[in-house]
Amino acid sequence: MGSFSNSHLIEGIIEKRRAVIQFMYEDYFPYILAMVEKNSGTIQDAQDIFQDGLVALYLRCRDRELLLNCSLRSYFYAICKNLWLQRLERKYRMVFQPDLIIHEREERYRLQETLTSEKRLARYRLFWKHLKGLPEDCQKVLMMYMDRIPYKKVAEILGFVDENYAKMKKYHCKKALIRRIRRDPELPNCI
Amino acid sequence: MDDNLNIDELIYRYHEGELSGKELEDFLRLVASDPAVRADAELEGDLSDFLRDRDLLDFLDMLDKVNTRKRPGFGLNNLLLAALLLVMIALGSFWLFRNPIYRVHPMLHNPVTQQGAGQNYSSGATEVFPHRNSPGYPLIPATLPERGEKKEKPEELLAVNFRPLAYMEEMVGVVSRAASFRLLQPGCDLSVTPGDTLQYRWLKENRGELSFRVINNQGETMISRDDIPGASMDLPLTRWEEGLYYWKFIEGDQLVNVGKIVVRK
Repeated sequence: MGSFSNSHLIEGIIEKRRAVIQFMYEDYFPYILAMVEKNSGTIQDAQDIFQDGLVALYLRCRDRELLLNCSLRSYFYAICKNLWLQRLERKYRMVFQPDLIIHEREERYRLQETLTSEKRLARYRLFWKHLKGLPEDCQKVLMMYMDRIPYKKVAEILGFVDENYAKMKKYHCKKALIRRIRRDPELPNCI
Repeated sequence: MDDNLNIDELIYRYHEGELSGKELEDFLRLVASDPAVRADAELEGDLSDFLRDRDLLDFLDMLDKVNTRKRPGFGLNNLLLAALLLVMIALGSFWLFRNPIYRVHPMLHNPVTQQGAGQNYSSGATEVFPHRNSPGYPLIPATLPERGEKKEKPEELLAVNFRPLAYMEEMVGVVSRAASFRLLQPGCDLSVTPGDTLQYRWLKENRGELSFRVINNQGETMISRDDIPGASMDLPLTRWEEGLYYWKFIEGDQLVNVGKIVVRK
Protein backbone atom coordinates (compact mmCIF):
# COMPACT_ATOMS: atom_id res chain seq x y z
CA MET A 1 0.00 0.00 0.00
CA GLY A 2 1.59 3.26 -1.04
CA SER A 3 1.32 6.58 0.71
CA PHE A 4 -1.14 9.36 -0.15
CA SER A 5 -0.85 13.10 -0.31
CA ASN A 6 -3.15 15.22 1.87
CA SER A 7 -5.38 16.09 -1.07
CA HIS A 8 -5.63 12.46 -2.15
CA LEU A 9 -6.60 11.47 1.36
CA ILE A 10 -9.25 14.17 1.66
CA GLU A 11 -10.68 13.31 -1.73
CA GLY A 12 -10.64 9.62 -0.83
CA ILE A 13 -12.43 10.26 2.46
CA ILE A 14 -15.16 12.27 0.77
CA GLU A 15 -15.58 9.55 -1.83
CA LYS A 16 -15.38 6.83 0.87
CA ARG A 17 -12.59 5.04 -0.92
CA ARG A 18 -11.71 1.81 0.77
CA ALA A 19 -7.97 2.02 0.06
CA VAL A 20 -7.75 5.46 1.66
CA ILE A 21 -9.62 4.45 4.80
CA GLN A 22 -7.57 1.28 5.00
CA PHE A 23 -4.42 3.37 4.74
CA MET A 24 -5.58 5.59 7.58
CA TYR A 25 -6.23 2.60 9.80
CA GLU A 26 -2.78 1.24 9.05
CA ASP A 27 -0.92 4.48 9.27
CA TYR A 28 -2.70 6.64 11.83
CA PHE A 29 -4.09 4.19 14.35
CA PRO A 30 -0.79 3.46 16.18
CA TYR A 31 -0.46 7.17 17.07
CA ILE A 32 -3.97 7.36 18.43
CA LEU A 33 -3.54 4.12 20.35
CA ALA A 34 -0.31 5.38 21.91
CA MET A 35 -1.93 8.70 22.85
CA VAL A 36 -5.01 7.07 24.39
CA GLU A 37 -3.08 4.39 26.24
CA LYS A 38 -0.69 6.97 27.59
CA ASN A 39 -3.68 8.78 29.01
CA SER A 40 -5.40 6.01 30.91
CA GLY A 41 -7.37 4.61 28.00
CA THR A 42 -7.75 1.10 26.66
CA ILE A 43 -7.52 -0.35 23.16
CA GLN A 44 -11.31 -0.24 22.97
CA ASP A 45 -11.26 3.47 23.87
CA ALA A 46 -8.65 4.05 21.18
CA GLN A 47 -10.76 2.23 18.59
CA ASP A 48 -13.84 4.26 19.52
CA ILE A 49 -11.95 7.54 19.45
CA PHE A 50 -10.31 6.60 16.15
CA GLN A 51 -13.67 5.83 14.56
CA ASP A 52 -15.22 9.00 15.96
CA GLY A 53 -12.22 10.94 14.66
CA LEU A 54 -12.71 9.50 11.18
CA VAL A 55 -16.40 10.43 11.24
CA ALA A 56 -15.56 13.97 12.39
CA LEU A 57 -12.95 14.26 9.65
CA TYR A 58 -15.40 12.94 7.08
CA LEU A 59 -18.09 15.42 8.12
CA ARG A 60 -15.64 18.30 7.91
CA CYS A 61 -14.37 17.24 4.51
CA ARG A 62 -17.88 16.70 3.22
CA ASP A 63 -19.20 19.98 4.59
CA ARG A 64 -16.12 21.87 3.34
CA GLU A 65 -15.19 22.93 6.86
CA LEU A 66 -11.66 21.60 6.64
CA LEU A 67 -8.97 24.27 6.74
CA LEU A 68 -5.68 22.46 6.62
CA ASN A 69 -2.41 24.21 7.40
CA CYS A 70 -0.45 21.16 8.55
CA SER A 71 -0.24 17.50 7.63
CA LEU A 72 -3.53 15.61 7.69
CA ARG A 73 -2.01 13.20 10.18
CA SER A 74 -1.32 16.03 12.62
CA TYR A 75 -4.78 17.42 12.06
CA PHE A 76 -6.40 14.04 12.61
CA TYR A 77 -4.28 13.49 15.70
CA ALA A 78 -5.53 16.83 17.04
CA ILE A 79 -9.14 15.82 16.37
CA CYS A 80 -8.69 12.56 18.26
CA LYS A 81 -6.81 14.21 21.08
CA ASN A 82 -9.57 16.77 21.38
CA LEU A 83 -12.17 13.99 21.48
CA TRP A 84 -10.20 12.05 24.06
CA LEU A 85 -9.81 15.17 26.20
CA GLN A 86 -13.56 15.65 26.17
CA ARG A 87 -14.13 12.03 27.07
CA LEU A 88 -11.55 12.09 29.87
CA GLU A 89 -13.19 15.16 31.28
CA ARG A 90 -16.67 13.71 31.00
CA LYS A 91 -16.08 10.10 31.90
CA TYR A 92 -12.95 9.84 33.95
CA ARG A 93 -12.38 13.36 35.24
CA MET A 94 -8.70 12.93 34.56
CA VAL A 95 -5.97 15.23 33.38
CA PHE A 96 -4.46 14.81 29.95
CA GLN A 97 -0.72 14.26 29.78
CA PRO A 98 1.24 15.63 26.85
CA ASP A 99 2.26 13.11 24.28
CA LEU A 100 5.77 12.82 22.97
CA ILE A 101 5.17 11.01 19.71
CA ILE A 102 3.87 13.91 17.67
CA HIS A 103 6.43 16.67 17.69
CA GLU A 104 4.69 19.28 15.57
CA ARG A 105 3.52 22.38 17.34
CA GLU A 106 -0.15 22.01 18.06
CA GLU A 107 -0.92 25.70 18.00
CA ARG A 108 -0.83 25.51 14.23
CA TYR A 109 -3.86 23.30 14.09
CA ARG A 110 -5.65 23.94 17.33
CA LEU A 111 -9.29 23.08 16.82
CA GLN A 112 -12.40 24.98 17.58
CA GLU A 113 -14.26 23.21 20.35
CA THR A 114 -17.61 23.48 18.66
CA LEU A 115 -16.50 21.66 15.56
CA THR A 116 -15.99 18.35 17.30
CA SER A 117 -18.50 17.25 19.87
CA GLU A 118 -17.50 13.99 21.43
CA LYS A 119 -21.04 13.37 22.63
CA ARG A 120 -22.49 13.90 19.19
CA LEU A 121 -20.05 11.46 17.63
CA ALA A 122 -20.58 8.94 20.42
CA ARG A 123 -24.31 9.26 19.76
CA TYR A 124 -23.76 8.49 16.07
CA ARG A 125 -21.73 5.44 17.04
CA LEU A 126 -24.52 4.30 19.34
CA PHE A 127 -27.21 4.84 16.67
CA TRP A 128 -25.14 2.97 14.12
CA LYS A 129 -24.47 0.04 16.46
CA HIS A 130 -28.19 -0.45 17.13
CA LEU A 131 -29.21 0.13 13.53
CA LYS A 132 -26.88 -2.70 12.50
CA GLY A 133 -28.32 -4.82 15.32
CA LEU A 134 -31.86 -4.68 13.92
CA PRO A 135 -33.26 -7.60 11.91
CA GLU A 136 -32.34 -7.39 8.26
CA ASP A 137 -35.86 -6.62 7.01
CA CYS A 138 -36.08 -3.71 9.44
CA GLN A 139 -32.76 -2.36 8.23
CA LYS A 140 -33.97 -2.60 4.64
CA VAL A 141 -37.22 -0.77 5.40
CA LEU A 142 -35.38 2.01 7.23
CA MET A 143 -32.76 2.31 4.49
CA MET A 144 -35.48 2.67 1.89
CA TYR A 145 -37.12 5.28 4.05
CA MET A 146 -33.80 7.14 4.15
CA ASP A 147 -33.66 6.98 0.37
CA ARG A 148 -37.17 8.45 0.31
CA ILE A 149 -38.58 5.54 -1.62
CA PRO A 150 -42.42 5.69 -1.55
CA TYR A 151 -44.13 3.14 0.69
CA LYS A 152 -45.87 1.61 -2.29
CA LYS A 153 -42.53 0.88 -3.93
CA VAL A 154 -41.11 -0.41 -0.63
CA ALA A 155 -44.02 -2.84 -0.40
CA GLU A 156 -43.34 -4.03 -3.94
CA ILE A 157 -39.63 -4.49 -3.44
CA LEU A 158 -39.89 -6.26 -0.10
CA GLY A 159 -42.98 -8.27 -1.01
CA PHE A 160 -45.32 -6.69 1.57
CA VAL A 161 -49.09 -6.87 1.16
CA ASP A 162 -49.55 -3.16 0.58
CA GLU A 163 -48.16 0.27 1.38
CA ASN A 164 -49.98 0.43 4.72
CA TYR A 165 -48.10 -2.64 5.85
CA ALA A 166 -44.83 -1.02 4.73
CA LYS A 167 -45.72 2.08 6.70
CA MET A 168 -46.54 0.06 9.82
CA LYS A 169 -43.36 -1.93 9.41
CA LYS A 170 -41.29 1.22 9.25
CA TYR A 171 -43.04 2.57 12.34
CA HIS A 172 -42.34 -0.59 14.33
CA CYS A 173 -38.75 -0.80 13.13
CA LYS A 174 -38.03 2.75 14.12
CA LYS A 175 -39.66 2.19 17.49
CA ALA A 176 -37.60 -0.96 17.99
CA LEU A 177 -34.50 1.03 17.18
CA ILE A 178 -35.43 3.74 19.68
CA ARG A 179 -36.11 1.11 22.36
CA ARG A 180 -32.68 -0.47 21.83
CA ILE A 181 -30.98 2.90 22.01
CA ARG A 182 -32.83 3.90 25.18
CA ARG A 183 -31.87 0.65 26.87
CA ASP A 184 -28.19 1.08 26.09
CA PRO A 185 -26.23 1.94 29.26
CA GLU A 186 -23.98 4.17 27.15
CA LEU A 187 -26.84 6.51 26.24
CA PRO A 188 -26.55 8.83 29.28
CA ASN A 189 -22.95 9.52 28.25
CA CYS A 190 -24.08 10.63 24.80
CA ILE A 191 -26.78 13.14 25.64
CA MET B 1 -48.71 3.03 30.11
CA ASP B 2 -51.26 4.28 27.57
CA ASP B 3 -50.04 7.82 28.14
CA ASN B 4 -46.50 6.71 27.38
CA LEU B 5 -47.63 4.99 24.21
CA ASN B 6 -49.51 8.12 23.18
CA ILE B 7 -46.49 10.30 23.80
CA ASP B 8 -44.25 7.96 21.82
CA GLU B 9 -46.77 8.03 19.00
CA LEU B 10 -46.94 11.82 19.12
CA ILE B 11 -43.15 12.14 19.07
CA TYR B 12 -42.97 9.80 16.11
CA ARG B 13 -45.68 11.64 14.21
CA TYR B 14 -44.09 15.00 15.02
CA HIS B 15 -40.82 13.95 13.43
CA GLU B 16 -42.66 12.52 10.46
CA GLY B 17 -44.32 15.91 9.99
CA GLU B 18 -47.75 14.42 10.59
CA LEU B 19 -48.89 16.77 13.38
CA SER B 20 -50.74 19.97 12.62
CA GLY B 21 -53.17 22.49 14.11
CA LYS B 22 -54.24 22.01 17.69
CA GLU B 23 -52.53 18.63 17.94
CA LEU B 24 -49.20 20.25 17.07
CA GLU B 25 -49.74 23.14 19.49
CA ASP B 26 -50.59 20.72 22.33
CA PHE B 27 -47.54 18.67 21.59
CA LEU B 28 -45.21 21.67 21.58
CA ARG B 29 -46.72 22.81 24.88
CA LEU B 30 -46.10 19.38 26.36
CA VAL B 31 -42.49 19.37 25.12
CA ALA B 32 -41.90 22.80 26.64
CA SER B 33 -43.28 21.81 30.03
CA ASP B 34 -41.98 18.27 30.45
CA PRO B 35 -38.18 17.76 30.37
CA ALA B 36 -38.52 13.96 29.98
CA VAL B 37 -40.70 14.33 26.89
CA ARG B 38 -38.35 16.99 25.57
CA ALA B 39 -35.35 14.66 26.00
CA ASP B 40 -37.18 11.83 24.22
CA ALA B 41 -38.25 14.12 21.40
CA GLU B 42 -34.71 15.42 20.97
CA LEU B 43 -33.27 11.93 20.93
CA GLU B 44 -35.75 10.80 18.32
CA GLY B 45 -35.12 13.97 16.32
CA ASP B 46 -31.39 13.25 16.35
CA LEU B 47 -32.07 9.71 15.25
CA SER B 48 -34.30 10.88 12.40
CA ASP B 49 -31.61 13.29 11.22
CA PHE B 50 -29.04 10.52 11.48
CA LEU B 51 -31.21 8.13 9.46
CA ARG B 52 -31.70 10.73 6.75
CA ASP B 53 -27.95 11.30 6.36
CA ARG B 54 -27.37 8.54 3.85
CA ASP B 55 -23.82 9.71 3.08
CA LEU B 56 -22.82 9.39 6.71
CA LEU B 57 -24.40 5.93 6.94
CA ASP B 58 -22.52 4.82 3.85
CA PHE B 59 -19.30 6.11 5.40
CA LEU B 60 -19.98 4.23 8.65
CA ASP B 61 -20.71 1.13 6.61
CA MET B 62 -17.36 1.50 4.87
CA LEU B 63 -15.60 1.92 8.22
CA ASP B 64 -17.15 -1.34 9.39
CA LYS B 65 -15.89 -3.10 6.29
CA VAL B 66 -12.39 -1.71 6.53
CA ASN B 67 -11.97 -1.90 10.26
CA THR B 68 -9.78 -4.95 10.32
CA ARG B 69 -7.75 -3.65 13.21
CA LYS B 70 -10.68 -3.87 15.50
CA ARG B 71 -9.97 -6.49 18.07
CA PRO B 72 -12.97 -8.34 19.46
CA GLY B 73 -14.08 -7.47 22.95
CA PHE B 74 -13.66 -9.93 25.74
CA GLY B 75 -17.18 -11.34 25.43
CA LEU B 76 -18.70 -14.37 27.07
CA ASN B 77 -17.35 -16.76 24.45
CA ASN B 78 -13.86 -15.45 24.90
CA LEU B 79 -14.16 -15.70 28.65
CA LEU B 80 -15.24 -19.32 28.33
CA LEU B 81 -12.35 -20.02 25.99
CA ALA B 82 -9.93 -18.33 28.37
CA ALA B 83 -11.30 -20.36 31.29
CA LEU B 84 -10.95 -23.56 29.26
CA LEU B 85 -7.40 -22.64 28.33
CA LEU B 86 -6.53 -21.95 31.96
CA VAL B 87 -7.93 -25.32 33.02
CA MET B 88 -5.91 -27.03 30.28
CA ILE B 89 -2.75 -25.20 31.29
CA ALA B 90 -3.34 -26.07 34.94
CA LEU B 91 -3.87 -29.75 34.11
CA GLY B 92 -0.85 -29.80 31.83
CA SER B 93 1.30 -28.12 34.44
CA PHE B 94 0.14 -30.55 37.10
CA TRP B 95 0.99 -33.49 34.88
CA LEU B 96 4.36 -32.05 33.95
CA PHE B 97 5.50 -31.12 37.42
CA ARG B 98 4.20 -34.17 39.14
CA ASN B 99 7.36 -35.94 38.05
CA PRO B 100 10.10 -34.68 40.39
CA ILE B 101 13.01 -35.23 38.00
CA TYR B 102 11.87 -32.49 35.66
CA ARG B 103 11.15 -28.91 36.31
CA VAL B 104 10.64 -25.89 34.11
CA HIS B 105 13.79 -23.96 33.64
CA PRO B 106 13.29 -20.22 33.35
CA MET B 107 14.40 -18.82 30.06
CA LEU B 108 17.98 -17.83 29.60
CA HIS B 109 19.53 -18.86 32.81
CA ASN B 110 22.18 -20.36 30.64
CA PRO B 111 21.87 -19.18 27.05
CA VAL B 112 23.63 -21.23 24.45
CA THR B 113 24.65 -19.99 21.03
CA GLN B 114 23.46 -22.19 18.24
CA GLN B 115 24.80 -21.72 14.80
CA GLY B 116 22.61 -21.85 11.74
CA ALA B 117 19.35 -21.79 13.62
CA GLY B 118 17.76 -19.05 11.54
CA GLN B 119 17.31 -18.32 7.88
CA ASN B 120 19.94 -17.22 5.45
CA TYR B 121 19.76 -13.47 5.59
CA SER B 122 23.27 -12.24 5.69
CA SER B 123 26.56 -13.38 6.99
CA GLY B 124 26.00 -11.19 10.03
CA ALA B 125 22.86 -13.02 11.18
CA THR B 126 23.10 -14.36 14.69
CA GLU B 127 20.53 -16.38 16.54
CA VAL B 128 20.88 -17.29 20.16
CA PHE B 129 18.04 -19.48 21.16
CA PRO B 130 18.06 -21.73 24.15
CA HIS B 131 15.39 -24.33 24.50
CA ARG B 132 15.18 -26.69 27.32
CA ASN B 133 14.61 -29.62 25.01
CA SER B 134 17.20 -28.67 22.45
CA PRO B 135 20.81 -29.89 22.15
CA GLY B 136 23.08 -27.88 24.35
CA TYR B 137 20.27 -27.07 26.72
CA PRO B 138 19.40 -30.33 28.38
CA LEU B 139 16.62 -30.94 30.78
CA ILE B 140 17.86 -30.28 34.22
CA PRO B 141 17.22 -32.94 36.81
CA ALA B 142 15.87 -31.34 39.89
CA THR B 143 17.76 -31.81 43.06
CA LEU B 144 15.61 -32.55 46.03
CA PRO B 145 15.31 -29.50 48.23
CA GLU B 146 17.28 -29.41 51.40
CA ARG B 147 15.33 -29.56 54.62
CA GLY B 148 13.97 -26.10 55.32
CA GLU B 149 14.81 -24.82 51.80
CA LYS B 150 11.94 -23.05 50.08
CA LYS B 151 10.73 -25.07 47.12
CA GLU B 152 9.99 -23.07 43.97
CA LYS B 153 6.50 -23.64 42.67
CA PRO B 154 6.38 -24.73 39.00
CA GLU B 155 3.84 -22.07 38.05
CA GLU B 156 6.16 -19.39 39.45
CA LEU B 157 8.97 -20.67 37.27
CA LEU B 158 6.83 -20.62 34.13
CA ALA B 159 5.42 -17.21 34.99
CA VAL B 160 8.95 -15.80 34.87
CA ASN B 161 8.87 -16.20 31.09
CA PHE B 162 5.80 -13.98 30.77
CA ARG B 163 6.88 -11.14 33.01
CA PRO B 164 6.75 -7.95 30.87
CA LEU B 165 9.91 -6.03 30.26
CA ALA B 166 8.86 -2.52 31.22
CA TYR B 167 10.94 -0.40 28.84
CA MET B 168 10.09 -2.58 25.82
CA GLU B 169 6.45 -2.83 26.81
CA GLU B 170 6.15 0.95 26.64
CA MET B 171 7.47 0.98 23.10
CA VAL B 172 5.20 -1.72 21.68
CA GLY B 173 3.17 -0.25 18.85
CA VAL B 174 5.54 2.64 18.34
CA VAL B 175 6.01 3.51 14.71
CA SER B 176 8.41 6.15 13.53
CA ARG B 177 6.95 8.27 10.79
CA ALA B 178 10.31 9.77 9.92
CA ALA B 179 11.55 6.48 8.54
CA SER B 180 10.86 5.19 5.06
CA PHE B 181 9.94 1.80 6.51
CA ARG B 182 6.33 0.76 6.96
CA LEU B 183 5.44 -2.66 8.30
CA LEU B 184 2.45 -4.25 6.56
CA GLN B 185 2.25 -7.41 8.59
CA PRO B 186 2.06 -8.82 11.20
CA GLY B 187 0.49 -6.64 13.92
CA CYS B 188 2.46 -5.34 16.85
CA ASP B 189 0.88 -7.62 19.44
CA LEU B 190 0.89 -11.27 18.50
CA SER B 191 -0.03 -14.46 20.23
CA VAL B 192 1.42 -17.59 18.64
CA THR B 193 2.32 -21.17 19.40
CA PRO B 194 5.77 -22.71 19.14
CA GLY B 195 6.25 -24.09 15.65
CA ASP B 196 4.41 -21.27 13.90
CA THR B 197 6.22 -19.18 11.33
CA LEU B 198 5.70 -15.45 11.33
CA GLN B 199 5.95 -13.63 8.07
CA TYR B 200 6.99 -10.00 8.15
CA ARG B 201 6.22 -7.85 5.12
CA TRP B 202 7.04 -4.20 4.71
CA LEU B 203 7.41 -1.27 2.37
CA LYS B 204 10.68 0.59 2.38
CA GLU B 205 12.57 3.13 0.40
CA ASN B 206 16.28 2.49 0.15
CA ARG B 207 17.38 4.88 2.85
CA GLY B 208 19.27 2.92 5.45
CA GLU B 209 20.23 -0.62 6.26
CA LEU B 210 17.36 -2.55 7.83
CA SER B 211 18.05 -4.59 10.96
CA PHE B 212 15.83 -6.80 13.04
CA ARG B 213 16.16 -7.89 16.66
CA VAL B 214 14.24 -10.21 18.93
CA ILE B 215 14.64 -9.60 22.64
CA ASN B 216 13.39 -11.83 25.40
CA ASN B 217 11.55 -10.65 28.48
CA GLN B 218 14.82 -10.35 30.35
CA GLY B 219 16.21 -7.84 27.89
CA GLU B 220 18.61 -10.21 26.16
CA THR B 221 18.91 -10.18 22.38
CA MET B 222 17.89 -13.55 21.00
CA ILE B 223 17.96 -12.91 17.27
CA SER B 224 19.95 -10.33 15.41
CA ARG B 225 19.66 -9.87 11.66
CA ASP B 226 21.38 -7.06 9.83
CA ASP B 227 21.20 -5.68 6.32
CA ILE B 228 17.97 -7.50 5.53
CA PRO B 229 17.25 -7.48 1.79
CA GLY B 230 13.87 -7.45 0.04
CA ALA B 231 10.50 -6.65 1.51
CA SER B 232 9.71 -9.72 3.58
CA MET B 233 11.22 -12.32 5.83
CA ASP B 234 10.12 -15.38 7.75
CA LEU B 235 10.63 -15.87 11.42
CA PRO B 236 10.22 -19.55 12.29
CA LEU B 237 9.34 -20.21 15.92
CA THR B 238 10.22 -23.89 15.92
CA ARG B 239 12.75 -23.63 18.70
CA TRP B 240 11.08 -21.02 20.83
CA GLU B 241 10.31 -21.51 24.48
CA GLU B 242 6.97 -20.36 25.87
CA GLY B 243 7.23 -16.78 26.97
CA LEU B 244 7.09 -13.14 26.07
CA TYR B 245 9.36 -11.69 23.40
CA TYR B 246 9.78 -8.30 21.78
CA TRP B 247 10.92 -7.48 18.27
CA LYS B 248 12.12 -4.30 16.69
CA PHE B 249 13.09 -3.04 13.28
CA ILE B 250 15.89 -0.54 12.97
CA GLU B 251 16.53 1.51 9.86
CA GLY B 252 20.08 2.85 9.85
CA ASP B 253 20.42 3.91 13.46
CA GLN B 254 16.75 4.74 13.94
CA LEU B 255 14.23 2.55 15.73
CA VAL B 256 11.25 2.34 13.39
CA ASN B 257 8.88 -0.33 14.67
CA VAL B 258 8.40 -2.31 17.87
CA GLY B 259 6.10 -5.20 18.68
CA LYS B 260 5.76 -8.16 20.95
CA ILE B 261 5.09 -11.87 20.61
CA VAL B 262 3.50 -14.09 23.19
CA VAL B 263 4.47 -17.70 22.61
CA ARG B 264 2.18 -20.10 24.35
CA LYS B 265 1.48 -23.76 23.72
